[in-house]
Amino acid sequence: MSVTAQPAAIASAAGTPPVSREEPAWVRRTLLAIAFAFLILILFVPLAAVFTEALRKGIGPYFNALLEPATLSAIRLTLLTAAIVVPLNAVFGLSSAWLITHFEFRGRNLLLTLIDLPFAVSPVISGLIYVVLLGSHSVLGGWLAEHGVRIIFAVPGIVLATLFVTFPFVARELIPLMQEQGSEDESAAVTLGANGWQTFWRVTLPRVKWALLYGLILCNARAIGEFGAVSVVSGHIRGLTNTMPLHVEILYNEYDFVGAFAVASLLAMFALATIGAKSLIEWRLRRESSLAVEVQRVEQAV
Amino acid sequence: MNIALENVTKTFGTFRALQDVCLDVKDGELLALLGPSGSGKTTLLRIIAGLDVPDHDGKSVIRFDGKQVDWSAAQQRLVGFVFQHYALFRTMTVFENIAFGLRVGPREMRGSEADIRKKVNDLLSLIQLESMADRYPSQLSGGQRQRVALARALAIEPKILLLDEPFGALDAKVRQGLRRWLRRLHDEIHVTSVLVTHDQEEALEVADRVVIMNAGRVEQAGTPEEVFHSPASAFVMDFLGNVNLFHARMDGDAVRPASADGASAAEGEAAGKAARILVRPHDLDISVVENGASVLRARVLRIQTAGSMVKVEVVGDSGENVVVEIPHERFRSLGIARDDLVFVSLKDSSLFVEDYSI
Repeated sequence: MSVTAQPAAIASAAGTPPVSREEPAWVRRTLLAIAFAFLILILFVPLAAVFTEALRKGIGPYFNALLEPATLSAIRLTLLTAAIVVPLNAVFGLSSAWLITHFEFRGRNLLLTLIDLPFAVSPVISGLIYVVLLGSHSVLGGWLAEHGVRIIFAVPGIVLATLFVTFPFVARELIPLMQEQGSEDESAAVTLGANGWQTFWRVTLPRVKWALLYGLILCNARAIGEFGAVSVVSGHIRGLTNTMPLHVEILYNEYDFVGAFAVASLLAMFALATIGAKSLIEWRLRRESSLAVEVQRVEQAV
Repeated sequence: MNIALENVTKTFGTFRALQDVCLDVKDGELLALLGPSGSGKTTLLRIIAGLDVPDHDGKSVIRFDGKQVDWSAAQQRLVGFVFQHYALFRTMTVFENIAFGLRVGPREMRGSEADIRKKVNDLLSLIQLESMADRYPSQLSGGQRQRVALARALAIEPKILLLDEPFGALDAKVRQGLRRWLRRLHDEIHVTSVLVTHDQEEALEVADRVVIMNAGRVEQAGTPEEVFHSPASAFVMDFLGNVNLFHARMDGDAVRPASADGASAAEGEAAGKAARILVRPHDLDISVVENGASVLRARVLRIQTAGSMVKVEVVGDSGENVVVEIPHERFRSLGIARDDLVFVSLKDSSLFVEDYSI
């Protein structure tokens, strides 16, 4: 009973014959055509339009538009925000997912609900909450202003608002996975003498790393693309508190179409890169789980 | 190392998982904790390992070799733990899984890389998986995974080895092979071991001593022979194998049928005390004529001859189902068939009579 599943055996076991469906060919073709037409109309045409508009006056004006000082500053601010928000959400997301899946405590369900809150409320409302809480007319904001700390209409406000709207991505990705994995591996590590830190780095983190990365990519995409919440707290100070999405709007309203679409094309390229990375990770995640399933199937068959 | 538990109680919310459990595990013995699911055996094992703590009621004491360990963390207890679902680290190879405990200990205790390599290779040959060192757990069969889990636990040279339903997730054939292997291994290395199982056959075959647990309490502790042949309670008897339960009357020490002779409830007092009788199938006999030893008149329902004994299922007059196991020669000499009227009698050996009053 020494089963050694060779990769070839796995592949052949995986290659089950396709299930034959008794749908007429024209039904399948029509459905496919509708789906593709819809995709082209809704997704591809707008995407193509962004690049066409950006390059309407040629490659020179395109790069000139991107090298505008205000545009460069918007790009810098957006990257800075993402660079602060993504690591923080990695820590928050990991710790809240860990808390929820490994402990029974009062308020556990409340915490689960709160994690979903940013998805449930409109981003504009999220921004307004910060203005109300920390604006110069509020008690806390007034006190902070007296001590020379500006949050609303400044970079800290933008970071806070972005942090809020991107909070659920990592936690939501990790909770189901950690729930499924249970805590037996951690118990095993502890009985083998590992301390909490070693257990986390050697056992817990490697097990969830792909899901974590997946959550971080989604979180990053949203951090870069967030408009509503940031718009409320930013104050739109050109060169100071403008992020890329806000800058696109300003340029567009000023009839600088090449400038607006040039920045938009950067965001679009970033979105494409995100989708690429996402499907790569999805493929990895699927491969790992299907490999395990296949090995089990081969084992049972032998 | 010897383990002593005194008055261990554990409550989860309102559920009492363990109630004043006292237990002694002798140095070098292999002890089986046997009980149905929910009887608290896994909780007890986790408490010994330090993965759970008993209730802080001031009464519970856990000692290893006389030294109280209640407050020492799981990392310090030097207890090897083998989990039911292996709990192998899926991101590490077999080699790294086994080496884990050797790499995470206090820095001054860790051996050199060459020491670790030698030790892991020794363990790999002990579990006969030398060729699998670079495989990942997902590429192993269930039996191989469990052996890796055992090697990983043994790598830290534990003074105590705890096994939580180690063969529970394996199929019957692999299970039998592995438990014989475990027994031989234990005879070689003599580490004090506690094995949790709900499989009575496994416990009786492997262990030096068996502790039967029920609803958070210890029902009986003893050698396999003791618990099997002289069960301390109806629960133990029922749990350690198939038993028949039927009603009869005790007339002094003699058992009388409750219904076959037509004794009515009014005559009950005169006919003896009502009793519930538990008897193993092989402690019953069947005859075609009524004799003094008969306790039940019944009709044959089913006969199953495949196996080392012939299994005869009968239904008594008042509807009780009774299973009788008789040797093949006995069956042939009886010449019984389905729907025949038969009489069931007790052999001399063990039965368990419960006080029974309505």
